[in-house]
Amino acid sequence: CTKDFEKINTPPTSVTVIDPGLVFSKVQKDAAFAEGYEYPNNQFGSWIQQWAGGVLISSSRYVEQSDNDTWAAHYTLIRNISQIRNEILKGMENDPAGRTKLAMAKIVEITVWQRLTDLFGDVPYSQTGLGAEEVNSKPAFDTQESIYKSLIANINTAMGQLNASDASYGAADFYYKGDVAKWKKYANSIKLRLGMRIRYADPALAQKTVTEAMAQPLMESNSDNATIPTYNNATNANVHPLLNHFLAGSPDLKYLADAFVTKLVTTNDPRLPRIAQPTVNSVKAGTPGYKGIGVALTDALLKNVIKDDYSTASTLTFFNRSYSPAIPCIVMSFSDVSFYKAEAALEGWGATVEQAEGFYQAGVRAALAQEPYNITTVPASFTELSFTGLTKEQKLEKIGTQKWIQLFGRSYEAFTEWRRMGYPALKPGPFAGSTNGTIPRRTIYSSREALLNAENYKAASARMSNGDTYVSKVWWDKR
Amino acid sequence: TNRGGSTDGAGKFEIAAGPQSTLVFSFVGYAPKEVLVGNQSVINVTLEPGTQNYNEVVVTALGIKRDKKALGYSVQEIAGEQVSTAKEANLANALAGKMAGVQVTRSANGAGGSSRVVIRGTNSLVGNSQPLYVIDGIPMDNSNLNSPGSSGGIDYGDGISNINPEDVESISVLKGPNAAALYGQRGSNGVVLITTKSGRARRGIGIKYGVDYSLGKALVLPDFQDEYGQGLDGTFTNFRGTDGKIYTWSAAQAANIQGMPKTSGGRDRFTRASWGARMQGQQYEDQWGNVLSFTPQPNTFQQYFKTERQLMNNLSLEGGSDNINYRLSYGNTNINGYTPGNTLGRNNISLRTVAKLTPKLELDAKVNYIDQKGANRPTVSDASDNPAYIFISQPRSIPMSILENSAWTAADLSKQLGYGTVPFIGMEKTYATNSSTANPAWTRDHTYNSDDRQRVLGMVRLSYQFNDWIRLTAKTGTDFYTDQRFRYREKGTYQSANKNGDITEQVTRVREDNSDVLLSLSPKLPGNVSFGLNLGANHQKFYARTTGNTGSEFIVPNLYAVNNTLTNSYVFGLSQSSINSAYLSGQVGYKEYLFLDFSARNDWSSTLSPANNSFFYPAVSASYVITDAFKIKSDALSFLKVRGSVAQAGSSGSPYQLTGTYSLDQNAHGGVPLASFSSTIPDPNLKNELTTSTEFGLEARFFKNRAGLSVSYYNASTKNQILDVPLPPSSTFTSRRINAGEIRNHGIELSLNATPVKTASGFRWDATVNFSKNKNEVVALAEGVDTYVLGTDRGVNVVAEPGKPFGTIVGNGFQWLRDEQGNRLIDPTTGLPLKSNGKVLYPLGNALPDWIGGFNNSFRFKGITLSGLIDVSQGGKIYSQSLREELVYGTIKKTLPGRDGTYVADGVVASKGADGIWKGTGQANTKQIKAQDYWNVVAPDKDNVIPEEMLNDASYVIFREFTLNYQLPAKLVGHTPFKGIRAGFYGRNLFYLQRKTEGFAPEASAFNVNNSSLGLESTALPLLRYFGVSLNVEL
Repeated sequence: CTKDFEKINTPPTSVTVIDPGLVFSKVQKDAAFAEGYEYPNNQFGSWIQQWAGGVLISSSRYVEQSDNDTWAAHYTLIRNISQIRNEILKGMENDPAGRTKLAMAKIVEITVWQRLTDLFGDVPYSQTGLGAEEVNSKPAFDTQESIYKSLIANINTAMGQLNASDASYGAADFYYKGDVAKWKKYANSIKLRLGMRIRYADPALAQKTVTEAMAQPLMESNSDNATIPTYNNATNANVHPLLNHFLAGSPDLKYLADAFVTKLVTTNDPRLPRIAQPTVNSVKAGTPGYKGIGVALTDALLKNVIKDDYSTASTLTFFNRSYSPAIPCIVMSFSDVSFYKAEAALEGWGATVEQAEGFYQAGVRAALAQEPYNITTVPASFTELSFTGLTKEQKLEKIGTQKWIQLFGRSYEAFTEWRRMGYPALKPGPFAGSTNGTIPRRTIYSSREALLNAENYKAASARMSNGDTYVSKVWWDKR
Repeated sequence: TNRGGSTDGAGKFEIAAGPQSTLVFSFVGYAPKEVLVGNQSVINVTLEPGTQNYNEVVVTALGIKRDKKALGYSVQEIAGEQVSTAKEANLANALAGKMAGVQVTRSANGAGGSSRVVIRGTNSLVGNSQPLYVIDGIPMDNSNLNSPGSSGGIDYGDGISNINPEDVESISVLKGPNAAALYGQRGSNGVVLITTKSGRARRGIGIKYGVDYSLGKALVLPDFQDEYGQGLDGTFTNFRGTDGKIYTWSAAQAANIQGMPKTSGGRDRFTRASWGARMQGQQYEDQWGNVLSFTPQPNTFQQYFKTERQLMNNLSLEGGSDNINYRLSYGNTNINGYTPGNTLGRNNISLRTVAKLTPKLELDAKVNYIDQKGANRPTVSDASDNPAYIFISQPRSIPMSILENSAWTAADLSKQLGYGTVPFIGMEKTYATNSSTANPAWTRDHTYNSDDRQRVLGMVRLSYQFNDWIRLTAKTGTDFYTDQRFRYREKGTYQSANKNGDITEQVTRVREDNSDVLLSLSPKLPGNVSFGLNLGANHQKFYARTTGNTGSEFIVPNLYAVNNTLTNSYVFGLSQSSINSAYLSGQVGYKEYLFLDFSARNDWSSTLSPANNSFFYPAVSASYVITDAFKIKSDALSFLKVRGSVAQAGSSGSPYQLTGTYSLDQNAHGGVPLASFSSTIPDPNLKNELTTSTEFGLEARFFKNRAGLSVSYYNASTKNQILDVPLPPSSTFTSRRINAGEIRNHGIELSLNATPVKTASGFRWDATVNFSKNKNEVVALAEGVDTYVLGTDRGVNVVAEPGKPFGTIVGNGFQWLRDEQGNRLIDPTTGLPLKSNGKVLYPLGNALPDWIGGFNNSFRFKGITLSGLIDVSQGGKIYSQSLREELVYGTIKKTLPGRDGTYVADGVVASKGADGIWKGTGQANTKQIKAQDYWNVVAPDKDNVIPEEMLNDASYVIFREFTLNYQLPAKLVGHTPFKGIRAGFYGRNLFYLQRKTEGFAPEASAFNVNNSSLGLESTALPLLRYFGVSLNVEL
């Protein structure tokens, strides 16, 4: 009489065997969208003064908050992407049916790890992602230095396993629809980024990695960009994360920061109307103008803020559900690569110093041409393209500043690159918060992790100069 | 020949009998009396309480009626009238205070909401530890589908609330495995056995009609302040100049701008607080541009909510002969709820018939059809459309009349301040732009929900009496219901997706079938030994399937159909399980004073793997009647019995827990499907949970049975719980499912009943006292796990930790710095109390009460019955989320003192040592500060609070029930067509004799009936005080 028990107890809405493409798509999309939502924009994006944050997101005022969601979301990405190597395609590294798919999954995984360690510093890495059967309930935190070395080694291996004649993900691959040639360029661009990120912490490894990457095909134009398509006439889960920020978010958290708006205004940046919205009161008065709110303001200063005097993001583009075609969500762009190449050239790594300006200009032009700016002719009033008469430091500042603008909407990456380069120079807001009025240099470990993996958490915290706080710097952060 | 009959409610009877007949009158607890009829046509009989033949029969497991003295465990029974005279819409609530060891917590969820009943303490970390409800031998599904959480949801009621109290003959509570082992794994939390009424042999048709009407109003409301209005720092935040421009308050003051103050509608304390100016009727412009007078609005709560009206009608017909009887009843309940628009209508039709088909074959059949329709049930807990939530924090100066115009107009748009570019004409107008703000008037007028539950409880039992000692019973029953739910929020609803409204429609079908066969053997043995044996088998099958559709963003207005939405997604759920069982139980008696019971049951459960799906539960108990054994004949000690038992029971958990799987996302991305792997690591080798319980007790009666005492001690331990042990996120998984943990409950129960006064004139006073004290200890969790979070809310976790009782409340926020004497340290510069640097976890107390009890008195004189019930719970703590809101926004009287800058925080002046550590100076703080600054440390708007300040003592003593009934004398009734008339007046939740909570009812603050709401209050709807009248007539 227990014959039918197994059938009765078979889960009705899920399966135990699945095509890896479904998991691959999910991780690609979730990882990309994660950095453009309301919260990352108003925390990380507010620290680097693109968004105005405010009292609602107390971390934007430098008040320390454990970053449970960012932490958990990245490990969830790892859980899903690592299922491909731990279970779905396990052991198929040399099988054309699995080899390239495994390599692509590995490359996606590397980018998730990189972002996680960039935001937090030391994180559990080598003792996790081993699958349900091998799970370690107390994984130790690896140093960021060792993680970077491992990621660089792994990207080399993965690149070697990309094979055009193997089975690929096809339509499940949002980036390139399974085009292996584009994946090779993308992987090499990731390698360039890995190398460049550690240039101030491990110059030798950085130089080797960057030089190798410069010698192989990198992304060559915006058509090589890794992006996820978005859909406006669908659920909020399918819209561009910045549009989601607009639709689902709070009216108080849609405002841009003073430093960002001012930079766009003073440089006559042609993207201005497509990034920012003229203030309500200026429009009412018939003199449309742009103004950002200061960040990390004190209560006394906030009391003097009338929101209608300030700019939100543009309702022509990102904050516009009818914008057509829907804006793709960028994972990595040719502009990113060009700025790295410019930096590499300034060091003579795989290119000459003379090439730096050209790379930089290509980066800015690509950034202007990106959706939703679509500016293919640089107006004469925009004079940020020239390196003429600049010192090396000033060139780096130009690169950092244009990168800062280009990364608008990619709040994790923008925060990370700002810390690495130290440009543009930003003046912290007046509210002291928990950082004594300095801009945070990392985000804080999950409180759930601290509770459930206490010893390893404490060991990792103790390794940092100021413990698990906003002011401790991660290993590669030397600026 | 033998003929039977029974009396009506007034004690009247009719029976056809010849002069030579002897009538035998008997009643439980009374000595039978024989009367020769002779030539009397009217016979008045008064029974005396029995001394020798005090054979109280109670219903035990499997519905077997047993002589109470033979039982080796405690069973407590109450009569149906105890739940039907002062009617509760939810039958479970009527158990409060009436049974030792039974704790009833009602949810704060409006008419038709569910209730949590826990017998002898919580024994499971997961699930809800609620008992199994068995109605006429057939288990009923009591689940509360999609119960609310700490951030909203709607309580659509549980199963027990569907039952008509008027149909209840008796309720018998089997407290834990000792009494309920025969229910196998499902009996581990105890069993509530409900026996419904059946017909009786009588002449003609007995017709009874009863009507109840009651009115309910809030018993406890927050203690609102009516002195200061919207704003911060004692002033307004903005200013409308006569030039039409809007200035900040400070800018306007500095430049001496002419005009009037203006409020703004942001998402900050400038808008949301009542820390503004004193309300003195001054003219101001509100956030939408209305020019108003700044005056207190003391009754927003009362204006919005309504007096609840409950009307219950009940009609029953019964009759029959010795061979067949029947009872048909119809009950109708109609509630117009406290929340405006909230209604609940329920029809119960029940037909039961018992027939002797042949002298040996008996048929018992019952069908109970329930049709319940609810509308506009309130959203509860910390959610925008919970109106109680809004009124708790909404500034005390905002008039309801302004919010009544609940949609934005063009004029509002042109004069608004603080709403940015969000509003459009026709959108819901909220006083603030907070993501958790709604306009209660909009919620009432522009959102709608309904539910329609149709339920059939059916049972057929056939029993065949082979001879005087062998009987075979076969029984099958079903509990089958569909629950159809519909909800929409119109276009413009602030909280809906992109403010364009949404709609959900779903149907759940639940079916639980149970079939049993039972062979009962009761051979007559020679000598002093009696023996009985029951052998049985059960097949149980459970099925629940939900299908539905959710749509977001209406395309055209005023069409509430899923196809009128821009995006939609499915709702689907399926749960299936089955248990097969074989069992036996037996009794051996010696000389009617020593009894031994034993039982054993084996379950096979579909939710476990074949290797682990079979498990065995034994139980044994003994009862020893000392007074009979030693032939004690004493007026003082009428009866004394000791008893003891040991039993096991357990649970095999939910279905689908054995494998890790991939699930698809609700929404594909541009046609590309997305999937993810389960976040819980499954264990294919899960075993059943196991509760082992030991119980000892004694029962005694004194003074010719005028007083009775029952005492029990029990000790139950549940091991191998099926737990999702939390994992750190870095493991990439959320939890691992394993068998682990041990929870122990031990305690004592005492119930005492007495008839202190009884006079010849017919006056009688009966009193009952119930007392129980349960000690709970979480003995162990899983290896490496120090804490298991049951529930969590802002500033607090409720956890289980080894060595501590279940339900430890842990503050999760800042902690006051104190000196050795426990005084708070006060910063000498700011005058504010000092708090920890970061967030700390520190224990605040426990959610469980130390003891609970009830004290019931009833007085009868002639036709008058007066009774009152006092319900007591002592100890335990509740963390109040409402209090946090009230302190943040300054809406209650507690925030009034010192607003003018004269607040002095209690504590001692601190000084900072060279080591940077604050120390107390011993000197009392005298520095005066603004109350707003003090409370902003206690409960900041956007930072961690001081959790200990939100803690309330949950102790209470409440006058729970009062009933006055008058049975019209037969003389008066004789002139009417009726056979009996009874009129009554009653009250429920009348008043507290003791209450320590701030602004809410301690026993009715939970937002659901699960462990996750233990110790948490979250903007609860108020508990209502009801007054009602009832009229019962009999034809």
